[in-house]
Amino acid sequence: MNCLEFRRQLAVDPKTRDAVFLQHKQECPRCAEAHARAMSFEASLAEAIAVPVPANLADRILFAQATEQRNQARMNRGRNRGRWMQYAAAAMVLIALGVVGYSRWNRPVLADLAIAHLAGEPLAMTSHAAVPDALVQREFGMRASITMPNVPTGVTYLSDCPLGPYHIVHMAMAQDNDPVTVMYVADHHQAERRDFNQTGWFGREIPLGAGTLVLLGKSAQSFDHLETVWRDAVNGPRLTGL
Amino acid sequence: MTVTPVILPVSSKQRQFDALVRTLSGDLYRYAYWLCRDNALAQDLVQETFLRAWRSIDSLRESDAAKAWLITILRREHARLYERKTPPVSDISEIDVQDESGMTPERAGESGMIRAAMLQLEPKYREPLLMQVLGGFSCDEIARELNLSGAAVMTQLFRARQKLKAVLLGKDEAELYELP
Ligand SMILES: [Zn+2]
Ligand SMILES: [Zn+2]
Repeated sequence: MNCLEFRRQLAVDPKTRDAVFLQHKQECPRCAEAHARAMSFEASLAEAIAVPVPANLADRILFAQATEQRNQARMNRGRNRGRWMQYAAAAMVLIALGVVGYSRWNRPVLADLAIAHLAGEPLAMTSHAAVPDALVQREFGMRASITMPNVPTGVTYLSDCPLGPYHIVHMAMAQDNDPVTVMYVADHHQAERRDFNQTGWFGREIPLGAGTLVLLGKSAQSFDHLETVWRDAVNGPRLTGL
Repeated sequence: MTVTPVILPVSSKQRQFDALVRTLSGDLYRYAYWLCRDNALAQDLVQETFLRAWRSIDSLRESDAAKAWLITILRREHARLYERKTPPVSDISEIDVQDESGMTPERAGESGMIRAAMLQLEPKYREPLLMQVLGGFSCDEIARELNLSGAAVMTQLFRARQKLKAVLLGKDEAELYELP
């Protein structure tokens, strides 16, 4: 290989492992210098191409795939067909609206999952019968290893559900005429407490115990109250005056 | 009232898929980003690509070939879904908010300049470069994928780098330093 051939190769495929190319680099100091400059440019190029990847991208993809899988499995079994068709239809709408399929850089992923999940479970918001405390205690014990001597009053719906890659205790609580969804994500601890407001929903994510409590409602009116009662239920009541 | 979730056994297929998503979704996103130059479209495109990949994961024989295989699927999906939706270049400045933390100012400056130049690069130059740098394709593989001659691919790779270097170094200098 002569210098011209080396420089051509260098300009086209600088990272080639071609033996003849590497040999010329060893033998020719001027080409070795050109090679070093090219490597420095390649480093800048690689850095420029490596744009930041949105957080939770992999989780979103796995969530979408799990949803597809689950729908497939349900359909194949032909069980609960009506309910899951309804779920699939709701999911399609949400995907079309861009709620689940993709979203902007910093939208919290739990919020997306929770809103999408709710659309698939319309019964959750319409039940009014009080759920016995013992059932709530059993769910928290089983799903989150939480002993809860005092269950907040007003739980009207209880189900344990998958939520994307996570597992939740899914509840609804009657708050005047404005039911609030309460989800306890047992296996995901959100680093920060935060409020969100998207696609017509108010929400709050609260790190609690080893997991995260998510509140979701058409208004945020009762969030402060609910946050307090659930903190007390999970952590035990705070001692005042200390 | 309690609905017991269906627990499906985690298959080796599922484990393989999880590993692909965890290790390759970042580079796939970057490829998609430079292809459609839009964050939201790029995320959607990557998700669609992986869903397709899942449906035909049995056709993936060696995991070494996974990245090239996924990029091929992604390119097809892009052509099918988004080619017409790609925003014009003038819209991009607002979207292109980048996190330069962790870079030296000099590097950050260079990266910014190269990114700006990449956005302006014609697709016929940008794509072979992405396939080579991000996808790890050889010249022959790029030629096969793009239906071009090997010589044409080499010319495009050469010109793509020339154009980007010209931005960093000034045009004349870039030309000087490639040709002895
Ligand atoms: Zn030489
Ligand atoms: Zn549920």
